[in-house]
Amino acid sequence: MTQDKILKKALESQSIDTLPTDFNSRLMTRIYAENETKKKRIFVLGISAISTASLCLISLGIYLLKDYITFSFQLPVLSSEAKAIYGFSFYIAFLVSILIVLDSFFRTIRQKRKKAEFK
Amino acid sequence: MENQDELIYIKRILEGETNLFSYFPERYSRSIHALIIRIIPSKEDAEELTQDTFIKAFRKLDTFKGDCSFSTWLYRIAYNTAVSATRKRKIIFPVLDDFSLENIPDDAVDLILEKEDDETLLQRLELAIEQLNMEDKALITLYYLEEKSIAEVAVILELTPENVKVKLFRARKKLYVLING
Repeated sequence: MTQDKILKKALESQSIDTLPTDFNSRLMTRIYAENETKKKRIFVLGISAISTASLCLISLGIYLLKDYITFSFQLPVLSSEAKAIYGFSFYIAFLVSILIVLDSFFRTIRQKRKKAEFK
Repeated sequence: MENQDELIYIKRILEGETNLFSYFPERYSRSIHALIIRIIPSKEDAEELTQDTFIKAFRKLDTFKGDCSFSTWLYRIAYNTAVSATRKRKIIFPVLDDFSLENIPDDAVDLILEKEDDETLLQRLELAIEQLNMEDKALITLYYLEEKSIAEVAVILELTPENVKVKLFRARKKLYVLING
């Protein structure tokens, strides 16, 4: 079948229409635009996910605290035990914040190293 | 080795070096355009669809697993893009009677297609190619012009290798019928 030389010749002679010379540069402009859209999409998705997760955590916190106060304490005065729980919560939140900052910091360093390796 | 280089390029593009993507249109735009223009007769539409193929490839670059060569993957996107376009534009291809193909001996087809310097036959063959359906056009373009293997053509057109062989033989017979009016 590969010997069908006249068929190949006919196909070759038909391929006269070529792409314009600026085709690749126009395409790359669209690719860069597409890349920006992709980045924005990822950013918006990330923000949405973080917002949803935060709202869920806040709702859960409010629900738990409300429940705790309703059943354990009739008065809206915080006991030392409740204060301790608040303190503990802030302590955990502080540790989580530090971990997030460290994670972001090390990721940036890792990405920079990878880029340097490829260069 | 070439495929390995392309995998490295893809990895780097996914890590943010978008400018490296220019390697792919520089290397494959002509071949992709040659396949699309065979299916979509309009020059402007073929150019637009060639661009769409590369943009789709860029969008889905993270889904390329490397189980076939990048060019095969790109041709598959191009073929699917062109097929979708023919459906949207309602392009109709002539249908040949399958029964008439059964009666054509393989030797007669071989004899005609083995000729090389027959100008009249060449012109008739060019006209005959125009009248093939899109799958046959894609088949012969990939196999004869782009010199893809049967296995690669099968991946691009999402067929089995046996099916590709059968369809190639049938395409040759269709050309024989169209040449002989």
